Amino acid sequence: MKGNLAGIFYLGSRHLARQRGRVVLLIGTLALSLFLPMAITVGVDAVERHLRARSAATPLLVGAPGSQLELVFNALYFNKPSVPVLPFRVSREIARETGAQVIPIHAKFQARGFRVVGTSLDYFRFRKLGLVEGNLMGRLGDCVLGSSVAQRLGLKAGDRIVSTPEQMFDIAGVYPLRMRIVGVLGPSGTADDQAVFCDVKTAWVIEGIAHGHQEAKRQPAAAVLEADGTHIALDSSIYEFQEVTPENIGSFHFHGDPGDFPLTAAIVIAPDPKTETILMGRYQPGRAKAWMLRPGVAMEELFATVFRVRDFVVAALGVIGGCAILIMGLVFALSNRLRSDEFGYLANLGAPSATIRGLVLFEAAFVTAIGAVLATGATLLLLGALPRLLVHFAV
Amino acid sequence: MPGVALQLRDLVFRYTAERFALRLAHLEVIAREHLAITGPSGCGKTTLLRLSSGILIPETGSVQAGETVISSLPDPARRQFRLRHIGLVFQTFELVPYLNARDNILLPYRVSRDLRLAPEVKARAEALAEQTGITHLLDQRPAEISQGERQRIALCRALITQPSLILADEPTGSLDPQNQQRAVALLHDQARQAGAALIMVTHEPSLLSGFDRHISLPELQANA
Repeated sequence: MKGNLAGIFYLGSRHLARQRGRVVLLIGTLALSLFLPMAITVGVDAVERHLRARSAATPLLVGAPGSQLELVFNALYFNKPSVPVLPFRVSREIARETGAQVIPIHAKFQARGFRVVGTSLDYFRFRKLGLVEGNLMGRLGDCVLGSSVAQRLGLKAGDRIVSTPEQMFDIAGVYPLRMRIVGVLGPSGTADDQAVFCDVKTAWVIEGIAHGHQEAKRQPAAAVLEADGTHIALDSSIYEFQEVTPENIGSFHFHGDPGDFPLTAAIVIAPDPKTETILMGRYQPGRAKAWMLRPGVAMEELFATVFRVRDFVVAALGVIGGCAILIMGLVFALSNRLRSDEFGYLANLGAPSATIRGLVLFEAAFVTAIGAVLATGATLLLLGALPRLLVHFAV
Repeated sequence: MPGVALQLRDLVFRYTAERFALRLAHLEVIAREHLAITGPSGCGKTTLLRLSSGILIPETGSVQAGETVISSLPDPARRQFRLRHIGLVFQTFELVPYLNARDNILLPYRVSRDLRLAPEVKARAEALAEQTGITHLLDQRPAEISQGERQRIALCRALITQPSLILADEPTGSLDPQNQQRAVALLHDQARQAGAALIMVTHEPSLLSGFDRHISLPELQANA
């Protein structure tokens, strides 16, 4: 004799309705026990794919000696702004001596919470970044916004964005620069969406290496502290421009040797494998004044560590989840023992054994099914949200 | 000539690991008859009802309800027969605690694969509740109502499938004397309205007046 499925469902649901608190607790426990290992596995895999794609698309990086991983993160994801400085001279040497294309990266400052990335127009071609609005940078002080920056700040071409002062109490330090937004990039699903791009020279203006101010020779004598044939020293009454305009652009000038100007990294695109090998040898990490590395190889070290941690965490969660499921089994067993009188009544009445077995299994099946659905749903939601989360966290 | 509602022949039953044994040569209950079985506690009254309903199976002998020899049926068929043809009122009522009175009355239809819970069955449950005076309790759970009211719910459940045989196992055991008389009167009324035979076991002599016949189980066994 088969059981009455509708009856099992009806009686089972009536019983669960009387045990709401316990059922919710059991479902939550199971859902969490399943979700955490799934989410970690799926999440780490997605992050890995995302990171690998970006690093695989970047052949070589050059940077100052230091942490290779920090260099990769600075050049590819625009975080770790405090990497050691690479003199601009190195990138010029590489380009001149090997014919490689060198794209400078200066990812150090911020504007309204987003990284200001000083680079060249080659960067946009290299990353295949297209504009949805306006143009690329045309002159000093121009910037192009990543799609997320434009969306979240509600900015468009023609608006202005001010770089964030880095040292509030350092009067000789970095002044905020009001940049003209000339374009907005289309979404790429990468860290580029979260960046404010400008020419590397504009980044140097923010750094204080270049600046523009009122014509020194036209200042009143009272403002001149010291003057000879080549140099003039003025007091603080001289007005320093905080925005580059067509009227004042001519007054902007650099101080010092351009070869010493700082980069945080540079992307190197060698013309052929042989040149790539030569570069790797010449700028071998640990030996040279600048280090050349393949981002994918540097990331492998990170992945290996991450995967070891992931495996450990998933195993630990598996043990915890297994214990939770065992405890749940115990709860079900105790619950069924408490219901033994009820099952006896049903048997006396004439309920088929299959119906009684169905009632015994209903609670466990219901909790398992709902817990699994919730865990799977939450994992799918996480998967759907991951691309946005990765961009949001500038990965 | 009226048919036979229940017939027990050459019955021997004993519980495993217990010295107690029930032996009964012959017992016959005709259709619509109201029979009371009396006897002291522990003489086997409940066992006899359980054998009569097919909950227990005798070592030897046969139990026949109507035309069906239920003692020779396999367990699933015995359960099916019990659900369809026998109304049971247990000593402790055996109501499901998380169901309200209405669902307890309709329980045979919820657990059976063969009985269909049609609108007329629900209407019959309402009518039984009205006849037994528990309409206002239909949405209450057993824990929220009195013993006497639970007994009436158990009676409605026994009658809902329109059985030809009602077996009541000391259904007044937990009631005060006044309510005992009312409960037994209700059983007689409902069984007569349903045209069912009624067998009630009790050790209370004051409840025997409304029955067509009463037998003492120890005496019946002594004659075996």
